[in-house]
Amino acid sequence: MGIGEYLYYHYAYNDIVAKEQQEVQKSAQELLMQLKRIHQSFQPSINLPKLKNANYAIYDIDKNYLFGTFQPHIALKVGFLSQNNRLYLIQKVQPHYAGAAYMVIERPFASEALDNLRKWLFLFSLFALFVIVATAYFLGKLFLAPMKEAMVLLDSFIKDATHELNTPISVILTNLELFEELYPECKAQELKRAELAALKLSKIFKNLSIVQLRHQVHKKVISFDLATILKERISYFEALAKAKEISFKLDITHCTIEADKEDVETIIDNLLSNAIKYSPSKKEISVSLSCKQLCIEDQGIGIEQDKLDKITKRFFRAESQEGGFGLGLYIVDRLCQEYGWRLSIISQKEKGTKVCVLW
Amino acid sequence: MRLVVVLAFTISALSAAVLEQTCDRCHQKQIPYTMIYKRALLLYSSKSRIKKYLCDFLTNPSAPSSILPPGLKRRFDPSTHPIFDKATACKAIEELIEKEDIIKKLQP
Repeated sequence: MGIGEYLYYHYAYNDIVAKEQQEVQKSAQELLMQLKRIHQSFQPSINLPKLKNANYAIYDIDKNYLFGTFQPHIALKVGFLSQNNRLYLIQKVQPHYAGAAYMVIERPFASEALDNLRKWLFLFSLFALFVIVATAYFLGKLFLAPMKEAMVLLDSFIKDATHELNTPISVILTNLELFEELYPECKAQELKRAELAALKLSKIFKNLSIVQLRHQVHKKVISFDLATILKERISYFEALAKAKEISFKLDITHCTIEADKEDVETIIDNLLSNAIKYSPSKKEISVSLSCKQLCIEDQGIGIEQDKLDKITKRFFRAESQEGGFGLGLYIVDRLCQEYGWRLSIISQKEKGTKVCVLW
Repeated sequence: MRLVVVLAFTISALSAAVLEQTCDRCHQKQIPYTMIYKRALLLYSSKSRIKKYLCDFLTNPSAPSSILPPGLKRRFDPSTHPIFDKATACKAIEELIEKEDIIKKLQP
């Protein structure tokens, strides 16, 4: 559109200039006729020629000013000249009627026509911009409507599914615990696997409920010993770690913090779960807790440097071979932000990852 | 005051006499000064050039340097024209230019 406007402007501008030049040339012809009349006159007194809507100046061959209705301050170079909103035509006179060798015709340039042209182009640009924006908005809305609808449906489905999953997961876990208490002598592998699967399901449920139902959860901020919770969660994940023959190296000191216990459990669970998930068999996971930070370090597959910035984004997964939804670190980061804590992730590909929460 | 007027009249009369003394004395018919001046104006445009070319002609008259149209050149052979000294010739031409100046006739 810009190119079109530019071309049109040039075309219209040249058209205006050509019309103006034609008018000046007409004046020049008229003046030439009048010079001839003066030259042929034998009257003792002759009227000075006058031009309609134009001024003129006559010069002899040595470029001395002879007569005219104005005295221009321009170089006598034959041709058209546009200067200070005025159009000049400098033309040679041959034969030299009344001694004239050069004539200069001056007309005010059609600045009004040019102003009108610019004004209309500006208004047209505004109108075209408005039409483009309106069309883009309408089309965008039209094309994005199905996508938006799908996202709303997906959100609604996850919300409903999360809500519906709560009861069966709780029933499975409660019954498994009850079964273990009622029949402590039963140590069947099948039962252990069922418990692990139920724990995994419970973790997924918890993450989804944090993402989807966060605004509905009331936080209960209390002061508690983080070491106790950390040890509890490590023992909770021991079954999962044992399945991969992974051991824990602990360096835990007592530390009291103020937070919602469930949030802290979620942070620890996600970090431990990731460490176990991405560690090969027979490796070690270091867990250290001081009054300043909690660090969990694995000897797993690590994360590529270019992916570290995006690792806390929702649904982003650095490694797609392992299962998961890409929510773990997103939830940890979000919870850390809520409490004003800092999340630090240091990783080297094929060597391991160290994740620290600093408060 | 009277003296100034008398002096001015005398000078004017003396200077106006150059054309009469140098030209009208020999030419039997009245010389068409206006036509000559307009012819020169048409060819040379500026006063300085008219003066130069006409002075040159009067000091060294010849057919090529004459401004007359070809027909008149044949009728009035320029080579038979008397030769003037430069000062007299230029004075006469200046007088002609002053007398016939077309610009002076223009009225606003």
